[in-house]
This record gives sequence, C-alpha cells and structure tokens, in this order.
Amino acid sequence: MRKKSSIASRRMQKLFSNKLAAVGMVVIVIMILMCACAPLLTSADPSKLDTAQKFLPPSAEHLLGTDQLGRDLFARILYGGRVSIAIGLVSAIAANMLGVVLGCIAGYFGGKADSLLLYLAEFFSCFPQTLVVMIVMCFLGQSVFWLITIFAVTGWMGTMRMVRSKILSLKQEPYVDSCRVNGIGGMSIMFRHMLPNALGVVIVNITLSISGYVLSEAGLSFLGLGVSPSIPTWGNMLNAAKNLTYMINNPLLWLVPGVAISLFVLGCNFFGDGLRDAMDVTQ
Amino acid sequence: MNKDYILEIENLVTEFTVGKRIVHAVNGVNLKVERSKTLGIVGESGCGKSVTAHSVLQLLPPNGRIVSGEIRFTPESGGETQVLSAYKKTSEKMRSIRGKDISMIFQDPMTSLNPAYTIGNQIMENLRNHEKISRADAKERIIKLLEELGIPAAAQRFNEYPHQFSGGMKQRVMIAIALVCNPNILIADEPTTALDVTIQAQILSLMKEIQKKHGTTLMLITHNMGIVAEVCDNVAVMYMGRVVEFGTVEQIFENPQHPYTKALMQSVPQLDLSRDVELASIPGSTPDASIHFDHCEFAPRCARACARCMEGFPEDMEVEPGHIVRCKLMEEGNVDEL
Repeated sequence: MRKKSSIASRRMQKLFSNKLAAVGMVVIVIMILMCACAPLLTSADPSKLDTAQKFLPPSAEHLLGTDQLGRDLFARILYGGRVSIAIGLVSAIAANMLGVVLGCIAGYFGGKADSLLLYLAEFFSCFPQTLVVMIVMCFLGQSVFWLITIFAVTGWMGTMRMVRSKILSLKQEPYVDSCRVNGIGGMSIMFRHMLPNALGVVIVNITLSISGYVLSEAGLSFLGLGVSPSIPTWGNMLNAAKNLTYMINNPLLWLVPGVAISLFVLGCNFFGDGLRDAMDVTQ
Repeated sequence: MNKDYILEIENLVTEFTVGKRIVHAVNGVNLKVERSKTLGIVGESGCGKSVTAHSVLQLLPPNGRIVSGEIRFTPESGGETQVLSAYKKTSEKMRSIRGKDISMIFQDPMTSLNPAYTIGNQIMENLRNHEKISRADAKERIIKLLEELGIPAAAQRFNEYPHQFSGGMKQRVMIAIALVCNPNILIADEPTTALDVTIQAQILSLMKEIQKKHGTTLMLITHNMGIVAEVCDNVAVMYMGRVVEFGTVEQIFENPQHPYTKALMQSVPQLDLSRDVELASIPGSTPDASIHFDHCEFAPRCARACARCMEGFPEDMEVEPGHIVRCKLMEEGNVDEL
C-alpha cells in the first residue's frame, strides 16, 4: 500500500466537508449509475411505440407513465440520460484535452506558435456555436458524433488560455531548469513535468463544462437542431413535449426531463465549485 | 607542466540580446579545470560566473548565445576530447551529456524539485533517461545513494513528495539527482546560498566526501570567500565576464595580486576585526554589462589604476607557476612579494 500524500488527503477532506459539493457529487453519481444500469431498472424499451397506451398515468408497470406515442417515460429518461450525459462528458473531455495540448504548446514554445494559437482562439471565440451546429447538421446530418466534435472544436479556447498562462508561470520554476540540466527533452518537460502542476484548474474546468454541454445539448435538441429525434435524449424529450396541450394536461412529459437536466447540471456545478475551492491552495 | 584537465574553456564569449542592446555577459573567459579537483569561481553578482557554467552545458535562454570560443571536455583521463561548443543547443548529443557526464545543482533547492512527483520518481527519471536499467535495480541503487548522502530511512523517503522534505534534505535530493549517473563534473551554482549555515557546512562536506569517493570534478560557483577557502583547490576570480586572477587556493588567499582580488579579500568580515573599523568595500558598483570597454574593466574602480590602465586590455600574466593575473601592473613587473 502506498501512503497517500498528505496534500491530496487534505484536499479530499476539504472537498467533502463542503456540504453542497458532497450533495452535488452524490446526485451526479446516483444519476450516472441509474442511467448506466438502465436495463436493470426497467424492462421497457424506450423507443417502442404503442399508441394504444398513450398518456398513461404513473403505474407499477410504467413508473412515470407514458408519452403521446405510448413510450415508457421512465425508460426514456434513463436511456436518454445515457446519451445526454455521454455527450456532456465526452465533449467536456475532448474540448479540454484540445485546450490543454494547445495551451501547453502556446505557453511552452511561446513566440510565433503562441501568437498563432491566440489568434486562432480569438477566431473560434467569435464564431456563433448554434450557427456552426446548424450548418454542419445540414450538410452531414444529425448525429451525436458531429455534435460532440462541434462542441469540442468550439469549446477549447478557455482551457487553452488558462493552461497557457499557467505554463508561462511554471516555465519560471527552477525545477524546469533542473529538468533541462539533466538532459530531459522538451516534450517530456512540457507534458510530464509542467502539465501535472497545471492539471488542477483543468479538472475543475472539466467538471464545470460537463454541465454546460449537457445544457447545450438539451437546448439544441429542444430546438430540433441537436441529436436526431429518433434517439432519446433529455433535450429530445423536452422537444417532444413542446405543445401547449401536453404542457397543461400532461405536465410529467416536460417536468421529468426538465428536472433531470436541472438536477444534473446543479450537481455538476456544486461539485465543480467545491472542487475549485479544494484545489485552491491560496485559501 | 602538463596537468590533466577535464574541461578547458578557451576565449569563451557569451552575449545576450536584451531588446536592442547586446549584453556582454562573458568576454573571453579562459579556464582550465583539473580532473578530480575543486575549482571555485568567485565574483560579484553579474560577473558572468553562472553564465560561464550555463555556457558549458549550452543551457542559455533563447536570447543568449555563445559567440566564440571553444569548450573542450575530456571525460576519460587521456581519452577522447569532445568539443562541447560545437554541438547544437538542442542536439541529442548535448542532451545525453547533461545530467550524465556533467550535472548541475542550483541555488534554491526549495523550488528545484517538481512538487507533483515523489523524489524517488524524479531521481529515477534522470537515471533511466541516461542508462538502461530496470526499475527495481534503479530503485535499489537510488536508495543506496540516498543513504550515502545522509538521508535517514531512505527506502521510506523514496516515496515521499518534495513538500515533506526540509531545505537541507531537498538539497541532498538535488545532489542525488545530479550524482545518480556518476557524472565526471558536478557544477554547483551557489549550492548553499539558500541554506542556513550549519546545513551549508554539512552539504559542503558531503560534496567533498563524494568527490573523494568517486573522483568527481567539482565546479563551485559562489560569492562566499569562506566556502572557497574551505573546499576549493583552485580559484578563478571573475570580474565583468573575464577571469582576472586564477591560481591555487593558497596563491589566491595568501598572495593575491590583482587589485580586485585584494579588494575582495579585504571586504570579507573577520571575527577579530575591531568594532571601530569600517569594513572595507570596493567603491562604485559593477558597470553596465552592455558598455563596451577598450581598457581594463576594473580600472575605473581600481585604487591602483594609472594612466596605462586606460590604454588597451591587459594580458594574462603568469606571475608564478599556475598563478595567472590579468593586470597591467603585472606587465610592468610590479609583482607584490609575500
């Protein structure tokens, strides 16, 4: 058994002594587990149409009732959560990885590479994301893959700037010089020695951007621009409930996905904020 | 006299470009480092001590460059000589020398270790970077080295992080990183400046011990005359990017010839100094290194300067075997006898 560093355990303690962060983590863990174990929790098929059984109230057979096409709402929220959370998670990781790599390069090499990447970041930040999504969906068809790609390509700039400035300050640290003195190569210094010391901010940023991307997916799907309507996602469920009569007569149709999205996003944000405070050495 | 030199620096000129100005950090340094001996390089801040050492390893920042001169390195006695100054800064060859044949330790051990890795990991990285050795063998060797360097419970501390070490212990770890590949030369750039006096003495005696055991050549960069007298065999006194006096420790301390060396000696506080006497200091301050001199750089501050000192550079003069002084006074045969 390797003894854990005391700093790491102190940070863990700090994180869990923050009630909101702990609650946030419990909420997202439970939601992720439920979505991951969807086949164990319900035997219903989320896409099976049965017009004879539409608008059923909650019952033992259909825990949250059925929608206008007779699909089981509980199954749809679980299977939909899988896609929504996966989009959020993968987009956040992809965007941040891109940001980390480009930020490292910009910060470590400086000079021309740095200014080029900063211009590129400016260019991408002034690009309306919704417009890009619409254009790409028109040409390539609606798909989860392209949605994630767009999220990643239009979402790396913040991380890149953050990592860049962190690397710039780390470059002044004597241990970077001592790496060079010992003949360690540039790539190894950059990714093995400097990056771990900059990773704290990135981890916080990933947590916070997961919720952002879950929201983006919901928003775009609600407008009919996101994932194809045949795939259940939280956003697509909201889209399906976009009808005045449903809103009044069958509140469960929009209430359930709405609450799921809000709970997950709130949990992520609470957890991310707690993580940020715990990682902040100056506090 | 044909001495065994491990490192020879000839006419080294290193410049930095700062904005539009060119700063002449090193202006034709000649240095010969004897094998398995300790060379002390002393001088005021900004006299080019560190830049000389960094030039040897070609570790200059992007705005610095070696303009001319040759650095010859002979790892084995009587063996092949490598011209370090001919290698490119980022070449594979240069990288394989850094940390393997020539290592360096820095002034501040507090920040010279990466806080994200255990110290064992960091020592192992240097070892496995330069030698093909299995993790288990490497670990064994490192623990032995750590014990040798006086780190108690080395096997346990191997897995600890830098913040769990004190300053003196961190400097020992730095020395371990530098020594793990058994380098021929260890360059110590003010290794004890950031440590308190008792730890300084421990670290210095440790370095001497290592030298005795492994025959490592030490290059000690410092501005502390006491340390020089204590541990060095040879001393080079530098001023404004040049070596103004070179000799054995006895020659320099008992028979200093250059007015600058003499002034330095007088400015070292002594225990038996009367309380009423003001400590001697060198008037003026080090000139701006971007100024180009056409005469002896020390002349404006020199107590013994005469008209001749303002005409052209002085030559290196050997006033006694192995004792080289760069001063016009010596050229006129004004050698001070003991």
